Amino acid sequence: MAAERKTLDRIIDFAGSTALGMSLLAALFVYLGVATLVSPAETAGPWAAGVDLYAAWPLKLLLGLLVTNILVATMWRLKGGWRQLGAWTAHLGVIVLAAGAGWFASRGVSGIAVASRSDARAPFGTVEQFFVRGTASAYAADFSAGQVHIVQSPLANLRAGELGGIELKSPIEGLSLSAVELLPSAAFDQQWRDDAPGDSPGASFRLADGEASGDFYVSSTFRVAAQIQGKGYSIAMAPVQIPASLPSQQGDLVLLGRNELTIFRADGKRQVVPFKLEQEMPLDLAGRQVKFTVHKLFSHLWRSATARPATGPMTQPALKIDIKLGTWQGSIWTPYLQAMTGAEFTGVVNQLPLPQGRLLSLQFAPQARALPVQFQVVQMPGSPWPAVAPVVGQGQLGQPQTCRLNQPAQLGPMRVFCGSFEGWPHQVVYQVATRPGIWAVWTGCILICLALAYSFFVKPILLPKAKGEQP
Amino acid sequence: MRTTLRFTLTLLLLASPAAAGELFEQDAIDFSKQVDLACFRRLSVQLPGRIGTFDTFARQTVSNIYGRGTIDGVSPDFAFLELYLNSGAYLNKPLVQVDSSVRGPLLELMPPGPARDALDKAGRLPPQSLMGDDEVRFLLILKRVDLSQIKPPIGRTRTDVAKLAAAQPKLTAKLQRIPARLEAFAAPQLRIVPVDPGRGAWQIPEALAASRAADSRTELGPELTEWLNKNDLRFQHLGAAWRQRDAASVNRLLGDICQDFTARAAGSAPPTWRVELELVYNRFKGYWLAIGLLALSLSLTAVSRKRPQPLQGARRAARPLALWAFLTAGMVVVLSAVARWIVSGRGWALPPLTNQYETVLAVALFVLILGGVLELFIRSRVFLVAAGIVAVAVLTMLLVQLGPVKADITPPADILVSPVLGYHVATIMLGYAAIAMSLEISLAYLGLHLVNAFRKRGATEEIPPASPSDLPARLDRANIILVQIATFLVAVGVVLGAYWADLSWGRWWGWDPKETWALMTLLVYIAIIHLRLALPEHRRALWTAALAVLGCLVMLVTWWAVNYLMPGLHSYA
Repeated sequence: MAAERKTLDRIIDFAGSTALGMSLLAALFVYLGVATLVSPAETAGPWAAGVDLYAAWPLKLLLGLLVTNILVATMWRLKGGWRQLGAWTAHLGVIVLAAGAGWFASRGVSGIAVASRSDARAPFGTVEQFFVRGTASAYAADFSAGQVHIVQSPLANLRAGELGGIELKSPIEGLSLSAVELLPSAAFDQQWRDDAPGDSPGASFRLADGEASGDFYVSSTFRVAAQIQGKGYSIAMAPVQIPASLPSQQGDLVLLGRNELTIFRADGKRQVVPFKLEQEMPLDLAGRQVKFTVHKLFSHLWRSATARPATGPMTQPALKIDIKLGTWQGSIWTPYLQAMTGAEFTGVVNQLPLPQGRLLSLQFAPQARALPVQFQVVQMPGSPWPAVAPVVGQGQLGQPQTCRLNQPAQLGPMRVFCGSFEGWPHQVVYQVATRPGIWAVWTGCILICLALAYSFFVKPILLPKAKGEQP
Repeated sequence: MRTTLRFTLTLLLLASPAAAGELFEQDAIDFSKQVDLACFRRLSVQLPGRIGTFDTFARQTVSNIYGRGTIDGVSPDFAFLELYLNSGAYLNKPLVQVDSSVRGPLLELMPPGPARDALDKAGRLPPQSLMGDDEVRFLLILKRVDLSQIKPPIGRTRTDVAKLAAAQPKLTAKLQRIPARLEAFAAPQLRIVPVDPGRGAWQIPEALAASRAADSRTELGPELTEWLNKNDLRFQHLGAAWRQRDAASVNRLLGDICQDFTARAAGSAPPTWRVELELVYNRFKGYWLAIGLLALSLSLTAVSRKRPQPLQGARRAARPLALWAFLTAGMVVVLSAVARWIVSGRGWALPPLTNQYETVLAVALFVLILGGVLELFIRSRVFLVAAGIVAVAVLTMLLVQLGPVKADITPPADILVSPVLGYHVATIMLGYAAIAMSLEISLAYLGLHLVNAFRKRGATEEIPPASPSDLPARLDRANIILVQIATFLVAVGVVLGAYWADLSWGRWWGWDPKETWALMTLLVYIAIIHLRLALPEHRRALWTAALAVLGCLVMLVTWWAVNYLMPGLHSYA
């Protein structure tokens, strides 16, 4: 019995020893130093190159051992009395902080929520979901007869490189999708192809208008391919039924048909100009003299993007998705977006025309999750920043809270952070986060600071130094 | 004493202006003595993020273009106006500063010719060699520069810069500064015309001519249109008179413009006292004065400790004099920091702690405050000497303005506009000040330890053990006080940083390199505190000193290396 107690005492002595604590501190110091060099930046995606040593088990083990050492030292080695109050409080602070941090890390979730609206005068829609930071999902949407059907395929433990064909959920029967490759940093090259599985009329043409001159493509799914920035006119593929007039438009609009151009003027007038392939036509568009030449007409035109590894500011992660529909096979590269919105589903690099007028759109973004409290963006009188108001019932909003940089809003268990905001755009991007255990984190921090202040500055004044005691 | 004097003299030589005629011809230098810029330099102009004086604008622009605050000994105000109104004369002169790290690769790339020679000899490029950009040409036309003076091949060096940037991406940021400096020459964005003070729409003088068309003036009203036209003509005449070196006309026109613009800017411009303060701040050589006072303080401290003392009275007086010189130096730095704070116009909630220059200034300030307070309470010359040496080193950094330490008052990044900024950064910098002082003391201790170790090795008789009043014991006592202060302040600073990160980014901790290295700094000091409990008494001081040196190195990584070498969220810091 006595021998067992002796062994136990030895174990406790070792587990709570300053030597062990020092060794663990030294190991933690070295480990963190290495981690800052090899671990990817916080802002990198979940598949970023390099080992994330901050999420690896050795760090958790080191921190666990250190907290255990502190706990054992506090319970078995520290004596009572005012002299040890600082040490007691500091150790208690570290333990409380560690508990709070563990709780926060295991239960907390953060991500991005996007509020959007159709135009600058419309109210913002209700924000119902957010995109979880550090995760990835593939989204497939089927646009058919004005309806949109979206399915999400979460992609866990995604690593850069060949993926071996991860099967994705498909919104359309008979259509199979599989993720085959992930590039952590890529640049996109785009090309037009005339082999879409569905009908998709399109054309290529040349435009000569000063510095806006060049060769362009336009298709039924890519309606603003040749929108000439700042020139006051745009060119699109003509629909099957060309309307007699357009409700409202900015500048002149040229609709390119199979044999003629239909020009809707900004003043509401309509003009039809026949054309022949490879024949240059002078046109008066928005008061500018433009030369227009149609090169070729297509029946199954779509824009295909390929990604290549690249570094630099204009790059982003890219996922390659293989598509099979009957005998048709192809692939789409889609960039990783920090959040997916309805507006972004009309992106240009990832839409494929399917038979029967359907359109497949693929997206690569973080996983979507329902917000615990839905909210709307509202304008507060006199404030340049928007406010967020919780949805408390059918069409009813709760008390709005201004949300600005360094001043988050609290909606139920979720904090809403607004990083930047200028004017009143169509979209406002918010960071959202739950913060379980944060009170324990702050309690631990305050205890540590108070303990250090007491030990270093109060105790030496209140309590005279004992013989042999070290400051 | 002799070393201190030599160091001070070296610094004075390093900072002295270059020999006359490096850029400006003799007629320009002579002309600078005849031009009266007393009023013009007080004109309110739009600076990045604030309204300041023309004097500040000229200093910053000349420094940005030329890489030095003064050219050929003439005032920056005159140098700027000479480059601005007489641009054509400098198209072929080595004017645009090229960073030294970029010069070598650029020289290898450039074909032989005058531009390459200029870069090789002066480290600067002539503006003409960089002008392949339509925008720059347009801006020069706005400035009425006769482009017929520019001979082909235009744009060769600009193409070289682009080629080099593509070939050596690591140099890209430095290479981008070259065209940016050219644009500072071509279009310095001198906004001195408050067209509509109510809306704060300040205009560059060139816009007077550019917006001469009646349609763009209709909304301004006839009175303002007439005023703009009148001053446009004045600027044209000023340019012509300046190029002809007609000092009388230049002084008359400068006076007219100054008077007219000052009257118009009333309401938008800063109050007179702030304008005067800004001019004093720009001219006041406070850091030189502080360095001089600290050198005096260190010398007096050295004199006061010598024994035996033939001049005991003088030596007794040296100690309080050293303290007074030290405190006066501290007061000078305090005044410089407060002046910068007021001149920045950011308000009391946002202290000057928003960029690397300002944090270095804060450390200088806090070292002097901490050293002064500790010396007043504990009366050990150790604090005075340590703080004096650190402050001289840090103030020298401010004077030399190496790398990112630029004295320009720039608008802070949006995220820094927070009430937490002052508390977080000030606490951390105060902690860093204690760490820097601890480094000095630790190095002194380790040096003494080494000397003693050699002495012991060669001694035939036993050396008596050190008494508490001996220097090593005093150093250790001072060191542990500073280590404790540093531990407390860094801990509080890290907690405040976590609180701010929680407010701004939605997480209190994210293993960002800055956060991780701040934690590592704290770990070193926590280790020192605990190690003193575990070690035998005779080894405590040595380990404290050794680890304090390590702690300071880790602090320097946290403060400097992380910002520029490791990607993270603190790249603005």
